Amino acid sequence: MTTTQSVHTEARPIKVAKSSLLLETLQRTLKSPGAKVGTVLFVLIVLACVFAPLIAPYKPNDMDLTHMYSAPSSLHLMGTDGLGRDQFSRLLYGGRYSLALGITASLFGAIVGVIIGSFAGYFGGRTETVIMRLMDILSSIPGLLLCILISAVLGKGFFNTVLALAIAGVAEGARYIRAQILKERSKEYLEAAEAINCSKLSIMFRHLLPNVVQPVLVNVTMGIGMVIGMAAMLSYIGLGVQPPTPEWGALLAAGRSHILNYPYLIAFPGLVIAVTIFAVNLVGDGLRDALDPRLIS
Amino acid sequence: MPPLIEVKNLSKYFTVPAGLLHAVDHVSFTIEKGKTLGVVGESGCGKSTLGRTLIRLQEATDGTILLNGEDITHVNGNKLRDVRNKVQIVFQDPYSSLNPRLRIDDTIREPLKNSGRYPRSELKGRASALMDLVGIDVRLRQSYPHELDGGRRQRVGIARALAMGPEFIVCDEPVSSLDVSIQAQVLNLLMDLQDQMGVAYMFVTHDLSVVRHISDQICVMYLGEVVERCPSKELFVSNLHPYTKALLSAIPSVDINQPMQPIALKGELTSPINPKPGCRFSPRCPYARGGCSEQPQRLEEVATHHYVACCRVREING
Amino acid sequence: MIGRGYDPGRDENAGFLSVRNLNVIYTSRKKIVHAVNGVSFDMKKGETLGMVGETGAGKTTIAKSILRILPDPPAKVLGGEIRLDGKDLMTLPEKEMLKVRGEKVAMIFQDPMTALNPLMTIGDQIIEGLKLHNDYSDVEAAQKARELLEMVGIHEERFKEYPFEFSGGMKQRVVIGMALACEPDLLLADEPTTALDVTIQAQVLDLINKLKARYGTSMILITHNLGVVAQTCDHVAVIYAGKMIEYGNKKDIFIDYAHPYTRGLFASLPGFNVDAPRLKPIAGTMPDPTDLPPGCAFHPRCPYAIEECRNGEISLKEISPGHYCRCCNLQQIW
Repeated sequence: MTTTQSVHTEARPIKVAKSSLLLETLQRTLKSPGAKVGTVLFVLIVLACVFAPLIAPYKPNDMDLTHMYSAPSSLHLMGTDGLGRDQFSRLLYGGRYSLALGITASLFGAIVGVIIGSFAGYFGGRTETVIMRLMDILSSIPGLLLCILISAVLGKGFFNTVLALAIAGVAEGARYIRAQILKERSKEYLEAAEAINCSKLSIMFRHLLPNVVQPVLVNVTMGIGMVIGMAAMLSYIGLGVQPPTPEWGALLAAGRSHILNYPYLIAFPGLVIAVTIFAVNLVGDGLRDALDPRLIS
Repeated sequence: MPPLIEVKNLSKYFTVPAGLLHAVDHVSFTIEKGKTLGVVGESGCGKSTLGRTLIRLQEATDGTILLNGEDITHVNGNKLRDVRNKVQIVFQDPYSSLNPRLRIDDTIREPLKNSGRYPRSELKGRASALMDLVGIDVRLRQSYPHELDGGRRQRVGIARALAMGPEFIVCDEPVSSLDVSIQAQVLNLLMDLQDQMGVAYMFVTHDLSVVRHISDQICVMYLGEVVERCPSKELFVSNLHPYTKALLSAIPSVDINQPMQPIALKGELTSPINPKPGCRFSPRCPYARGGCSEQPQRLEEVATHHYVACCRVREING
Repeated sequence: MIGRGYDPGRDENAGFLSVRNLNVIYTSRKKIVHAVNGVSFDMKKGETLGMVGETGAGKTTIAKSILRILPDPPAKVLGGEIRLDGKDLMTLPEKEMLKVRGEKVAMIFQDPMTALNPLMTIGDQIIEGLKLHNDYSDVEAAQKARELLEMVGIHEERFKEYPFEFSGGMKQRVVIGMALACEPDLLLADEPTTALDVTIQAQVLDLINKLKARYGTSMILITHNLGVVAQTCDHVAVIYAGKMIEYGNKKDIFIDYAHPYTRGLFASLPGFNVDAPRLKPIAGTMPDPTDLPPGCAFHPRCPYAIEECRNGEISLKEISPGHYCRCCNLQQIW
């Protein structure tokens, strides 16, 4: 008789569990060529600004009175302004403000928006109605106008500008998260969490939010670009960050009156702002593709 | 000794724009320790709502639920937390009933933590023991739900329910989404666990062959009401309510020598919103007479432990 | 019919539908899913073939290959011949294939909403379908559409309603009616009643049987429900991991089943042996289609597996007239 093997083991090869989901998302994002380019660019810009003291040939407020309004040269790579200050150095130092503004305001607005939107979405009923109507009021004022309004009320300066820009982003974040939560709310794992005695807050922050927050990362990333642009606009019209702080928008504003005679004063800040926003948007696009639910699972 | 679960006239209504939706209406039954009540019915019969109301994921509109003699119908706060340590639930969809961002050992650790019974140091060991109990391979315990198949995910769901140490588990269609060969594995697991741990079940399903195997008694529901209730073996031998007869006759049998002769039901399901007082099955019932749609039907004990809600039950069954 | 070895040259015109050595893969970024691995079978006109298997066995892929509606990429038909009334559908130019779909071969799915437009009334959709494949005037089409609703047991007054106002069973009946109204030669039904309640399922199966008898349509019914197969099909093909592992008529499969997988399927049915304290599941799970075991794909789960099962191709053998089984150890099992 032929030997019979009684085999009752698993037929499917056992896969070893992968590492964290976050890492996976990051890896997927970097697969797209656009995201690669964007990340590299953005990182370069950030590093350049962070290491400004090492890279910049001059201090941002050093005045070289012998070379006022000079065109780009080997001495001053991007020219100088009316007070002889080196534009290249000012851009590098200024980037610290602009990037800080962009990242902080975008993050802050998103976090507050997400928290508010979560309460609205999860608790529903009157809470939801009250919160969402407030958000409606907030978003009925066009973004830039809102920034101007808040800035005018709070005053100029770095922190007030962060606040103004953040508040403008709250309504969008809240609305977005609430929509995501409405979709996710009916999933059984949330009922299951309730059934095993998780507190409502714990369900909201430990179970619900992590599953809806990923798309918000895309908004935050794109938001950085938008906020930098808005900050620039605020400075341009005299609000926001003020001279002598070399924030990019302030540089743009300063160069505005000399656009015919010394175009480089406005061209370089403008270029740098544009490139940064572009890089950030590339990363955001890559992230959005990486988070596409069709590709997950 | 009071029965483990006693449900008296339980009703759950929802207010909808068109009126009052009677999802569950005047349902009564008891479940003894370590036994299984099967609840069968088709879409819209209210069986899932019934299950969720028992575990207080919904709150009853009317009636009482007694756990070991104690009224738990409207408890809140710490009393409710106590109840959840005794009454748990396994969900139907293995895909949406697990948090996709939690590894399965974390999913099982959470209820252990919430129960407050074990010190932090013991949590991992106990989670491991639970996974041994339900048969999850050691190599898979760090996985995310999407890396596992439906059968294994259901085992995780079962382990999660067991983690609270319950005496009673509502199983809401736990095997309906699984392949046939996997269904048998999970059903065996549930039955083994019942033998080992003495846990009682309310097994909700639309699949009559599954419920026969696992239940001690069976309840047939239609549009929110119980139309027949009796010991499980008896239902298949002596079914008395016209709906039960129609339901059983509609099951396609694998016996090729017995071609199906389904009892044809007229029309479609009537609306559970603002239902009229009489028998809800009468618009479709092949035996309906004039009085059926006016008289409210009551569950009557027609034979030992065999209850039917039909005013013509004796005439129809001779 | 299917010979001892696969010989496409022989019995070419034996059936009205003849599938030979169908091979389909799905490509994803790194892996290849072997969905269908050399499936062959024949069908006579007017016959109903039940295709049974669990999720991922490849049954839907086979049906979609017949209609050539597999998305390419990621699906790729590696080889095979599908002859309908002598014509090889695999090599037909797309223009001609358009005439085949809907007119000669129709398909219905588990979810009727894949065929229904939520924004059009049911009546309009039926009319549109009818006019696409026939030369009806508006008035004729409307008349035929009402007759169709009548035929599937839906009251005429629902003609102007939208799909959301219909229940699942009613939608499925409409879809079936639409599919059969154009009198196709072959109907592919992919789990048509799986999502329906059991009493509704009975109605729909009854309808399918009546319409089949009226129009003489051949049908391939894909399902995992053995009961449904027993009540509606003449022949049965059991599919596992992309291969057909058993084929026969109703009696062959339901009474004289041979393959260990088929035996396992029957044994694991809850209704099968009601008095047993425990059910008898098949151990293990379906194999990973990107990494199929060598030899017989079922051998890791098979209680009768021997050394031979792991080596090379196991061929389909005729164990009694018209009854085929792909197992090398049958003598030991009986």
